[in-house]
Amino acid sequence: MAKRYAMVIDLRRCVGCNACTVACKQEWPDKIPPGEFRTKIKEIESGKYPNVKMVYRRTACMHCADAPCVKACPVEPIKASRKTPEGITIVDEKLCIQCGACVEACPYKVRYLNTDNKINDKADSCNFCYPRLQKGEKPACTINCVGKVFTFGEINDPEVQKKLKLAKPLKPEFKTKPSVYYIPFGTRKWDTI
Amino acid sequence: MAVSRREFMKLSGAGAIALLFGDQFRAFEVIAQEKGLDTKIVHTVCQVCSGGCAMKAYVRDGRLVELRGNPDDQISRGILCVKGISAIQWLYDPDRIKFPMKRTNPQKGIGVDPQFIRISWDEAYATIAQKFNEYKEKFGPESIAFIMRPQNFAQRLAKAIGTPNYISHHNTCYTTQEVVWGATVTGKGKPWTQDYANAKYILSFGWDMPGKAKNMQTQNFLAAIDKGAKVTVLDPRYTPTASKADLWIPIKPGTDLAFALAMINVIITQNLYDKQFVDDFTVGFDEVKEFIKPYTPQWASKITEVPAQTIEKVAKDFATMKPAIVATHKRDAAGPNYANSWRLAHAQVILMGLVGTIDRLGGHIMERMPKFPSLDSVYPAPPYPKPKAARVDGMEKFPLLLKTGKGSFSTFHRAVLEGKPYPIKAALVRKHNVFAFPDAPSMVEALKKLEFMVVLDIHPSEMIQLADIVLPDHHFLEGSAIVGRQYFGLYPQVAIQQPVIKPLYETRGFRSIIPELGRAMGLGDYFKDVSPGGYDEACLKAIGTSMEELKKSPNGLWGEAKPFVPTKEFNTPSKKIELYASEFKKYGYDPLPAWKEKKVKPSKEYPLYFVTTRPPVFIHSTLQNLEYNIQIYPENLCYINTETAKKLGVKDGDYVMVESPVNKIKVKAKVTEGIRPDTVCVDHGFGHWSKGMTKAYGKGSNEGDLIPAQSTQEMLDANDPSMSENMNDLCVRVYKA
Repeated sequence: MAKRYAMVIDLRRCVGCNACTVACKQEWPDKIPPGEFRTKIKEIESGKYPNVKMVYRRTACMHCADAPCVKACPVEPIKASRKTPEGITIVDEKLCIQCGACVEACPYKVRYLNTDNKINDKADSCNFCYPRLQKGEKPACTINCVGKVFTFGEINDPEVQKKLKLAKPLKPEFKTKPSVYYIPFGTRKWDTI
Repeated sequence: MAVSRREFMKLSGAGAIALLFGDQFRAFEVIAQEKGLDTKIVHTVCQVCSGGCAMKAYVRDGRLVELRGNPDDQISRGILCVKGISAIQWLYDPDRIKFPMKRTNPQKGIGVDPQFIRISWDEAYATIAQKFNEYKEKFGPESIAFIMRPQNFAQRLAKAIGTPNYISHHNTCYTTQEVVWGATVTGKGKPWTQDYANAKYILSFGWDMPGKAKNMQTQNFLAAIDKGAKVTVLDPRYTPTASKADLWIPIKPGTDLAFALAMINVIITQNLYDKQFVDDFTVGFDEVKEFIKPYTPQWASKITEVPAQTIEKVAKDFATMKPAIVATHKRDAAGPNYANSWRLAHAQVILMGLVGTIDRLGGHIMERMPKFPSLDSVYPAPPYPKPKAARVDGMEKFPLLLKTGKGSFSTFHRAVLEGKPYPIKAALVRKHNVFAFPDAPSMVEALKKLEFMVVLDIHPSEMIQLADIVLPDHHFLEGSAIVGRQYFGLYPQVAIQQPVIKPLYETRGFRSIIPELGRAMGLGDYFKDVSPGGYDEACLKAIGTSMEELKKSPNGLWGEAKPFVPTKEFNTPSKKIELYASEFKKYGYDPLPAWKEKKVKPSKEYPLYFVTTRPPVFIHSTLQNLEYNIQIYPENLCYINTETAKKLGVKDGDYVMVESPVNKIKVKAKVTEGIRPDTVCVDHGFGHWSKGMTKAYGKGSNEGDLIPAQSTQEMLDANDPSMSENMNDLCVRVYKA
């Protein structure tokens, strides 16, 4: 049985510094073109002065079990946009035909189609740092976080389970069964796409 | 390779993926192993800020690929901040200065190509030595200025030359706090360890270190919240720190002092102070008690526009939720931002003294650094020539600041422009840029006026563009040192900084350059046997260890955890915390922080308060040339309240002009509910004009251009012991660009 992974992001603790964003770009220098990001912090402001509230939300591929990007991929017989046995959503750049169907299909808008053909001119999004997982390491974004925002591991890991009790997916109404969960910050608005 | 779907389904794991898709999804380690590449972990120390986080560097096949915090370090505890991890990009930035250079274009200025050509280190030293000696001879040693942070090797060279002009940027950064803590508590400067993790109540006057992702402070701040601490933030802007607070009070800029005074009033009149601590460890309580009478919450309410009952509630909570801490670092409301900031710093010391959290867990902790010997005791020097002239930045007139060894770069440039009290001909500059400083255009003019400027740096900054000789420093990941725990140390601990990779270019370490330069100048007697390695070894010997032992240490650290022993004697004339500061009295300053307004208030012409902030992906103007960081934050923003923006016809993302009495800049508007309607906030550190900084060049505008510079006389007239540059004490008008 292949491992299944989950990521829990604690919105109460994020200060919005984008260390995760930098770590991601540094991990994938040859894959992510200038100005594009696999992950980024979204700032979500709500309320009126002086009763304003803010949530900083790390936003990237949700690694949905029922992934619209996979369904939308027209490449056959092996899809370019597909799931690994561990439930991770990947783009196989050798097979991708740059049609952009997956980018259109993603309800979370976390995949981009790279038009800069100098590097990786294919569809691209977070792959949970799949190569790192192979050697038992965690995704690059989770390593140096001053807010200790991330909990990442096998879905049955007790630490992950503990956090999952407090967490929920972003926009569950999309019914895509994401592997990324968020611990809300009180009643603050946090689910803007 | 053709693989059917069925075959694909049969395959599993990394091997199958690798087989199918080459190296795209394979772990570097797996590839490295196959290719017989070398993988190692090197212990070192982050030098992006002065914090000193111990780090682990992952080096594969001679290339640094990842940085992590050292889990046994008191500061980093296994985590680095966004700036720390970005050091990889800095190290490998192709824009770095690669070898010594000299200028061939005699013209200097913004947009002027210096036409640098490569020279050898020997030629660089010989040129500098000849020029410096010539100016020393003709115009006196005082005509040569050192512009850099206090550093013992460089201070020795300055003293050997005989110049009093060792100048640094600190009066734009934290001299207010430095001088106040020195006079009232430490005898030297501000303590940098704050034990937020054990605090039950955290009160911020514009402190926003979590918003800057300051590693140790953010970790400890969030740990306190986890344990149920209450947080109150006073800040004109809704900062990331405010977003974690129980209460955000959008205080009117520059009125924090009134709020703090009213808190002291409540705590004393309602008998909420820690009587035991006050009796045992402070002096001056009776004077404070008398002094504070007029500063009631009702009085403060009129000034701050905060309801009196809110002030009273905060005061009561602060005094009763023990231990309570005033969160403060640099450039917050108690940093050199307003004419009354040093008074606020003093009021903060009084607040902490009243609730007994100075050098107590949950409070501000006195330095517990290892006791290293001075350079002079390790390498005794021949007598130094006595400087014949006073400093050009006027610091002798501020004796309490002079004691700290910090300087005033912001008055230096005026002295250079006016040629008074004497002409400055040459300078040796390190890690100071023309940014950040008030009236930056005049600063450029001043530096252009120098006949000979030597600049040491890593990146080809704007300062480099004005240099006659450029000396390339090692990047810290290429250098060696031993580092005490600067920004968080509950017990003495030392971390080893060692080269992670071999230097990429023809660079040298700063502490090697200085003795070499000294010898070239004929000052070899002062640098006999002086070497960084020898000095570090002597320091380690003094604490009972050695470089060999530290290199062998499994975690790159020295120093066992020790139980916290609270300080009973403070380094002041009375050996107690001086709520009433006898040192201030002695030098003619207010011994108690009487209310004084900030200097500039909104007018018809300039109706908006001006404050600044710094995005967490940069450290001031440094790191802006990092490819990924500047992509994340590509230009600076002007934060403006929704209502105000509506009145000005400005929409989110529009460009606006921000204009002060001295200059105007163009920046992008960020329309938000999270700022006072009468205030705008501009990000600091942008507006690079050096074409050598290919990624940062032309991004955003320098808000330092808006800030009027102060003269030494104005600072004297303000009777402020810290030479505060009043970085936010101005008002502006904003209109659509």
